[in-house]
Amino acid sequence: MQPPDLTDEKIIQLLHAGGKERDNAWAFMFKTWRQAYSQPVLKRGGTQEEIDEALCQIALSFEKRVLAEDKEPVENLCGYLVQCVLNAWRKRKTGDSTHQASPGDSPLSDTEPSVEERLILREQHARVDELLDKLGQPCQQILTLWASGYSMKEITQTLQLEDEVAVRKKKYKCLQKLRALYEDCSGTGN
Amino acid sequence: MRNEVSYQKIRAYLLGELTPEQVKDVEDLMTRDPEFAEEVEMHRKLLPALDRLNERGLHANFQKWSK
Repeated sequence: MQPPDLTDEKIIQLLHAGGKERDNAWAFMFKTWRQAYSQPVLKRGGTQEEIDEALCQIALSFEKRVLAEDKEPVENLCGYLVQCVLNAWRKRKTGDSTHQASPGDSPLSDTEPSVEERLILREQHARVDELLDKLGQPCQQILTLWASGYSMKEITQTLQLEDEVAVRKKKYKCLQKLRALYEDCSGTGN
Repeated sequence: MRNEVSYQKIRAYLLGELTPEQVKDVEDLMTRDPEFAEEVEMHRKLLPALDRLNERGLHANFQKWSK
């Protein structure tokens, strides 16, 4: 289904709202702007897989920058996303040390990690992923929706669970389970 | 049932990104509701894992939408 046309103002509003509304904003940007952010990379010999990897890499930084209230508002979200994806792809291809910045380059420079930071992040992600895998599917589902900004009502509907009170209790137990896994892992259990 | 406080708001509270009024609202609720206070403390320790789940959820959506 073709997503509805959204203005930049509406996209920002949806991202702020979180949950399903945020998903709608991302679905719109992913589908409607796909050609726009893919074309510059494809033209330079990149592949769709590399584009998708670059998008994954910058998505949360892009969202954080767009929603930052202590910075100048981003004008033209589509153009900004195109530039972010292209820069992330370039950096992955060439590495930070050889990439020559040009005016207007690195729009996410204040939020985007360097190569060294990315390596550390990757290690941290691997450790966190290991813990999350031990959490089990039901808790992963609930906490993924929770961390994506879903309300209790939205989680209840999405996972077709009993009621909001039951979901709140499950979420609480899942947080406790994750904390216990963290404590086991770091040897700080009490 | 207590008023719902979103993950984003708890996260912003823990990262010092809320206005003084919003901080007061969260802390008043923590005083009134010990379970919520414990939940906030759990989030303090679990922020990296919850942020990672948020990221993984978004990536899963990208995969779904690309098909």
